[in-house]
Amino acid sequence: MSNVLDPKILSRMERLDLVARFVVEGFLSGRHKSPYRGYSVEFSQHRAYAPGDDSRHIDWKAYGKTERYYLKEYQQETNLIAHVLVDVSKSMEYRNEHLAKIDYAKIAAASLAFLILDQQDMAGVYSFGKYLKVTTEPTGRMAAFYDMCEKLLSLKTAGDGQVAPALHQAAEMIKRRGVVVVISDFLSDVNETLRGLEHLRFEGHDVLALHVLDKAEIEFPFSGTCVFEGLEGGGSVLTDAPRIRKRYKTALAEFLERLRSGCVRAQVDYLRTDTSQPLERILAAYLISRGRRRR
Amino acid sequence: MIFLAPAVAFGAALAAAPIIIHLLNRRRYKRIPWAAMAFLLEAVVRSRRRLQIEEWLLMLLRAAALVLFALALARPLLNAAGPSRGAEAVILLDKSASMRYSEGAGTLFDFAKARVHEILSGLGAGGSAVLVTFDSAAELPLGIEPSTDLNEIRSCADRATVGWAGTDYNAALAAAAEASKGFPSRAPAVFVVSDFRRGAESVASGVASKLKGRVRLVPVTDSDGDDMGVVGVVPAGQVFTTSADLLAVKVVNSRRTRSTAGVSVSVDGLPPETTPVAVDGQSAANGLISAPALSNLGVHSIVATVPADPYTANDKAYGIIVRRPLKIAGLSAGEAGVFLSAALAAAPQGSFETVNAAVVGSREVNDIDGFVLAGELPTGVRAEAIAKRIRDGAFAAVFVDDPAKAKDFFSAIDAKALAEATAAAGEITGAFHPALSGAHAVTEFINSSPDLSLANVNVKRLADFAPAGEGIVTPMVVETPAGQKAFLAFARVGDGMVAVFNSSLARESGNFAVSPFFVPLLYETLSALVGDPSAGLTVPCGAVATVPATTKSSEVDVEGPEGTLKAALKGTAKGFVYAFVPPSPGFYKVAGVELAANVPASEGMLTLAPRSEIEHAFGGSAVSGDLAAAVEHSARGREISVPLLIAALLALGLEMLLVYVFKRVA
Repeated sequence: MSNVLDPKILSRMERLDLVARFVVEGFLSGRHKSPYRGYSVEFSQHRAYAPGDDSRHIDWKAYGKTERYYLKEYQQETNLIAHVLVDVSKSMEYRNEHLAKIDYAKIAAASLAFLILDQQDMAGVYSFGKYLKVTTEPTGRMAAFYDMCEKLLSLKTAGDGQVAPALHQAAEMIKRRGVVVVISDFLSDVNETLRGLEHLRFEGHDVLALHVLDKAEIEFPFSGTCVFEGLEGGGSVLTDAPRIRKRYKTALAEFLERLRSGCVRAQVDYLRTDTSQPLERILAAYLISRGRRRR
Repeated sequence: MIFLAPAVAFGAALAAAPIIIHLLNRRRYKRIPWAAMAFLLEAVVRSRRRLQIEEWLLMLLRAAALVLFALALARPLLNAAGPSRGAEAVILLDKSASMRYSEGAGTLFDFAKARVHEILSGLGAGGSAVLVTFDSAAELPLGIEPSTDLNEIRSCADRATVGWAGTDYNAALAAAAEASKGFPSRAPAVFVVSDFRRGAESVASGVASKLKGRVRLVPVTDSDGDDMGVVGVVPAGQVFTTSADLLAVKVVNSRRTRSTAGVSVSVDGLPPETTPVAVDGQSAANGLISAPALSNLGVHSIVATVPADPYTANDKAYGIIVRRPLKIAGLSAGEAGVFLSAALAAAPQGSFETVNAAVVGSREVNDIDGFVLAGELPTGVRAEAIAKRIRDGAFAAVFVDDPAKAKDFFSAIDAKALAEATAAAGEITGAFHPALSGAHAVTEFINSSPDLSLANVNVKRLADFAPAGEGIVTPMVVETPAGQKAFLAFARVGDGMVAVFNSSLARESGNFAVSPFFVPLLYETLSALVGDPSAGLTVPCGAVATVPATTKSSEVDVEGPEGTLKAALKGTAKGFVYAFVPPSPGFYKVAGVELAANVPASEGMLTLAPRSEIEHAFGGSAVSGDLAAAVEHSARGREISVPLLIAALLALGLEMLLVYVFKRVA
């Protein structure tokens, strides 16, 4: 399965909806019976009949046994809403050997949306550079999936990508509690980002932070003299790459650890991945968050 | 500093290459759009200082390597004279006896002078030099100050005459070191113009190292000598073979193969007798030659000659042998007297004169050459008188009957080492083989005894090994197959010597005459102790010869082969002597004493010392095959291309190492 979901292979597929469908079906076919399917009407408890109660809910079998009227109560049937936020800042353009981070994020978002719709939940897609934009309003209709993919494909990178304002905006804008999936490289002020995530948690959302990096950003494999030109400004730096590798990786590791530990403190599910990793890890992470929400 | 290849020195401009390459490299970079700039900037800021230091260090090393490499190719000369100053040199001209060698076209010394001319010409205008002529001593005929008058130096070299003395490179190099201080650079080139015979390797490395590689060796010939010669005449004095009429003539063979020379020996002007002497190639050997006239007491003059050949320095050797009576006092009327008689019977006729023991302690004690003591050993005043005489140069041969008494005597004459050795030896008793008699019997006995050898009873050898102080020669114990033992020990006491005997022989009057072991041994012992009664008076040319002063004149005439010289009065620890230096081989007569002067033995070996040995001896100095090049290069300073090349390689190696380390650390 991992091979099938390899981003290298997926990147050759042109239609995002098909890619997403392929990813999700491939992912689900490899699993055992899903514990999340077929939950639509579930019995909750019996209650003694009281005047004014709707007689349609009287449990006649219980009456036959006890000669008393009992009503059957069911768990309220509510559609879970998942909001998928995709970072479209310029830093997401970076690619080395694999997919660009933005492409990886789009596939991940589409795959998540398909999985959500497939499970009778509602999915909405948002993009954010500095500010949040609604790409597709939350919907439970699978028929809207194609349109959702089209809009995802049309997203262009722009802006310096401060994550925090978008997260605050999302927290304010999304009224109905659900699962918020943030797909980003989080290359901005980590404290501000964490405050944004906490804000979402404060509003009652379950938050999944999908941290997408390129493998080159992690390993810094460059040799010789290089000029690094900032995608989101920051000028350019001329340096002998091998000789700053160690310090770069140290600085990155500090950042990653602060982000990870901050998420843990804020009870935000955190998954770091790079563009060479299969997407199933992301889907699995979502399902865990989704399950937490149902309980 | 000057450069032999100055054009290449411009290659030092290559030092700019690393900088240029560095700058070019900075222009040839990869452009990488980058997202995580914050961490990159942080890394660069944190590493900036370290990176700058590293880059500068690496660039310096690369530049240094290129500069050093370019300089090495330019062949710089250290301590070089600048354009305003000429080249500097100290020229050491060997005038020792071996420089007299001639193959017909001229002597080695003539060739050496020609080499000096070449060196002086090579110094060029403005050059300065000091000339040192040397044999066993160094002379500065024009003084120690450098002279720019090269013609005068040339004339001085032409006027120099070859001597008869030996070669002392140490003295010459020391003079060169001293003369170097007068040059502006204080480091002139030092040219040693010599034949570099065997013996050059005896140069003290410390002397050569003082000149710090400035020495250039200029051999005046590279041909092998083809000659035989005599370098000394001395009385033959081997144990058991001693005969008053035997001479030992030292013959050297400079040829590569074993050769025989007919050595003619003339004693006291009598017609010479020729004896063939065979000597291995490139070695020396003593030829034993009989001269009956030497048996007579008195002073004998000997001239040994080999046929004339190209090398005339050592075709003749001169010897003076003094045969005189030896006064020996026997201090025991019994056994010692018998012993002494036996010794004299075995000795050459008329060499010994016995003195009654009664004279000891009287004024005549100073005329006594030695003492034979046995039985009742002297004590008190007599012992003190004997001790004083021994310390002044006499000898004592002591037969030990009672070790305790002998110890007392030795203590009295302050020979503590002997006292202890005697006590340790103890009494040795037994009986000697009755069938043997005489010196011949002893020789036979020793030769037939597997446990013994002549070396074991070589008294002279023992005496040679006697330490200068009052330590004792390792006591020698000779054991016969029958278990009988003989004990012999020597010790120096002051200027004299003491020998002590003991044995397992029954020393009765009746068998002393047939005591085969002690009779010749005693004679040899006496010979060794008294310094050989028939020793010759021979000195090498160039060395200081002394004879005891018998008058109070401040100087006396010395009659020699080249006319009359003067010998000056000098005070020494042993009293006043007349001293002079024999300038040439031949007979000399000073203050009534005759002596012979010979060419030093070291000058007789014509073989050129191996090049490697010479270079090692002179502290790694190179032998200059091409003199013109040596003058051009070395007189102007020491070339330091090789050290520079090594330094360049080291710089490159260090640069590579640092690059590796920096990458590992980063």
